[in-house]
Amino acid sequence: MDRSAPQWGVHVDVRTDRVNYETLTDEALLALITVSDRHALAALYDRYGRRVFALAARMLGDPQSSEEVTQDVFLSVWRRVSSYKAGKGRFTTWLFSIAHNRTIDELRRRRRERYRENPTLEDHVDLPSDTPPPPEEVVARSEGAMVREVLGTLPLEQRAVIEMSYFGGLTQVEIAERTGQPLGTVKTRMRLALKKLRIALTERIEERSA
Amino acid sequence: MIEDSGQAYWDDLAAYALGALDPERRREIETRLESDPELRAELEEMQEIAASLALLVPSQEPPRSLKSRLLQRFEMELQARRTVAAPVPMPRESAWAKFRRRALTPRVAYVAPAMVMVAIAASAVSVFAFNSLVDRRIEAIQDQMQTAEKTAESTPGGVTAANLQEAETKLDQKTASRVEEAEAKLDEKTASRVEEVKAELDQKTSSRLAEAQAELESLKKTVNIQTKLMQVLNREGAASTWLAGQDEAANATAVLAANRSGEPAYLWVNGLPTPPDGKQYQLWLYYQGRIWSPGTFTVEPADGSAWVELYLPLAVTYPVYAAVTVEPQGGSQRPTGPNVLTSRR
Repeated sequence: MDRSAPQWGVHVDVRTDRVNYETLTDEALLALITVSDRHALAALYDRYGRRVFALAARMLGDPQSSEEVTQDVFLSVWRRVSSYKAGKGRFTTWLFSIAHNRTIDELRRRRRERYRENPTLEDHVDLPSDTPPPPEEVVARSEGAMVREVLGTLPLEQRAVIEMSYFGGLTQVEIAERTGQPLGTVKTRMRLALKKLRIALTERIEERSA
Repeated sequence: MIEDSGQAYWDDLAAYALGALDPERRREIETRLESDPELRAELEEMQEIAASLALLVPSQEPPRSLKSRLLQRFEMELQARRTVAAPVPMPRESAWAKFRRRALTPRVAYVAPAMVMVAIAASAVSVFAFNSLVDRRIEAIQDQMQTAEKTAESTPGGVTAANLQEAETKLDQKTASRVEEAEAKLDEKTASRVEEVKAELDQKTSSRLAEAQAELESLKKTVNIQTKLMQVLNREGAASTWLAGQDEAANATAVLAANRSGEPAYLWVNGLPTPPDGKQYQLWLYYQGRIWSPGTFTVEPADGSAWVELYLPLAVTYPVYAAVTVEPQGGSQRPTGPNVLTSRR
């Protein structure tokens, strides 16, 4: 059997063929975004726009730039959809990587600009401290709560490098300079932190599914 | 500069996943990742953990206008892409009549008279050049005649009226034949130029037409694929399985869309290289401990795409694990060739 010949025999009126995009999986939406389906992109935005916007707003602290970043992220999903490898990780990993990288670019661009204007000004980066974590009900109950819980079990200095790098957009060299720690120590803390997070999250997920 | 040992890449992997490398080191790691699958696998796991950090931030509602601004920018870019891709403007509703009327006819109508004008202008230049050539020739002959007359007058008993008449006749004949010759040449040149211009015009017109037709065909194909996918995915029990390219076909992607309504399923493939001579691609499905193949398929040489209609057994449960292998022409009973596309198990 060779069914390679295109099957164009059926005439379909696109206007009357309504699709409920909300019910489609992320992967199905991506398949439609590949062919530049506007409604699929809109549905993906409805699903993840709040998360991407929240991440950008948390890192940039300014709603206007966060809106621009959010727009760019979803346009990037469309432009780069062919580079998404479905078999290699979840879609959200890919989406949040794009969002994070784009926000970091914006954060660093701003820092360079500020430095040009006033080289003596220190950047303010939030450090994890003894401030209590956000109340339980604010964090999404399922996965977000689990990540928060696991992060809370890390030693403070490991949490600090995670916060400074992931949310503060600092490079490992910058973290070493600010904390006065050797670069090697910073690298080790990052590695250990991610490793512990991985183990703890895997355990939690297994517990939950058991 | 950081030392270039393999360990240094592993040491920086966490920083890469957290976005904590400067651009230079980032690029170095990316170059290394291309040739180091183990490093790549480790990074993928780390990236998954790093991405989960985004969930720490409580969701925040962006302004309502952001969605419409996003879609507006999407439409603008899409429009720009289409303009760049298609030299002939494509009508948004792809009605063939509208397409012909708006996009094609005016071009031919403008282009054709313009080319004829060029041809006429070229001919006019040739005629002008020829006229001045003849004028100069006649002047030269008149000069010669005057010189001959003077010579005859100064030669005692030399020139008779009859001689002179004869000389004049000869000269007239010569001039006339030169004029005829030149005229014939000019006619020939003009005719061949006109032929050339016509051929050029024909070629340009038909290549424009072919380009426009190809663009229209590709647009129709995309709309058809989109519509079919929507139809399949909108039915009850719809499921899609993504397949990612492997090794040499790393850039290939495919999606298998099916539902439980007894309608055909579809496999849509993009970016697969043309298989070696005597080989074909074959799709395999793995479900309930069984391997089953719906059949073989070939890809379009231009873009490695294929749109395959499949009838799957009702016993297939989703999500199904699927793979595409390279097999001898006509297919195999069991997968024998290398995997070029696989879904996540």
